[in-house]
Amino acid sequence: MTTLLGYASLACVAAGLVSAAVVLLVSRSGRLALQAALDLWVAAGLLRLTMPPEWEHLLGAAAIIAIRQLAGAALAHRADREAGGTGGVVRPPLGP
Amino acid sequence: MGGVLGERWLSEAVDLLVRVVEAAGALVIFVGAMVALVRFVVVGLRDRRSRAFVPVRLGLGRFLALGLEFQLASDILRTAIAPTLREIAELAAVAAIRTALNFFLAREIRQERRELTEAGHPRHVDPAHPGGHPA
Repeated sequence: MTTLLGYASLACVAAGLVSAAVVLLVSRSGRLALQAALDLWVAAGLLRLTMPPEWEHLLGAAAIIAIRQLAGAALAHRADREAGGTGGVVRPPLGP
Repeated sequence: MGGVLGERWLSEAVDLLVRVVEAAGALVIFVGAMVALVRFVVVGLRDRRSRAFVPVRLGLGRFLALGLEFQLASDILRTAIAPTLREIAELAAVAAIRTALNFFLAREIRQERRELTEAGHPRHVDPAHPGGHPA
């Protein structure tokens, strides 16, 4: 089962790279591509946590989660600033 | 003698339950990741809009949250058969990581659902409740 989990984790890492490439090609946004990749790399880290615990895996999973949160917050803050402080949400005009 | 055999049997039974629950969690996470990969590629080829990726990430987040619930359950079960302090410390570290991620994922899912609703997208359909029942 450990071998299967190792391969599954590798597959998730590869999926993250492919997804990031697709998102980058379509949206031309590094932010979205990085978010897509980090989400799938978190899945890889969680699968590694299922294997017999080693401190390297624990630290690796904690690190990827921390990076994901920091990158998400920093990139969201930058996107918010670029959008003029509206949080990137375009609200439809009110009235007729 | 009977008491020792009973303890060993219970320990093995709990160990088996832990493996089954953990395997279920791992399966949910892996399936969610592969579904997300396929959806990223399909949406990227078909839709070609940045906003179209948000529901895909939302769906992946929900799979990860569900897989984490299973893994947290296995962590709780495992505390029943963790005889050494080192194993307890490892368990505590793993449970803390999974709990923190579960918290962050739940918050992000709520936030992205709110953004999708504000942007005028239809409410995300929960695959477990296709009739539109709120999750």
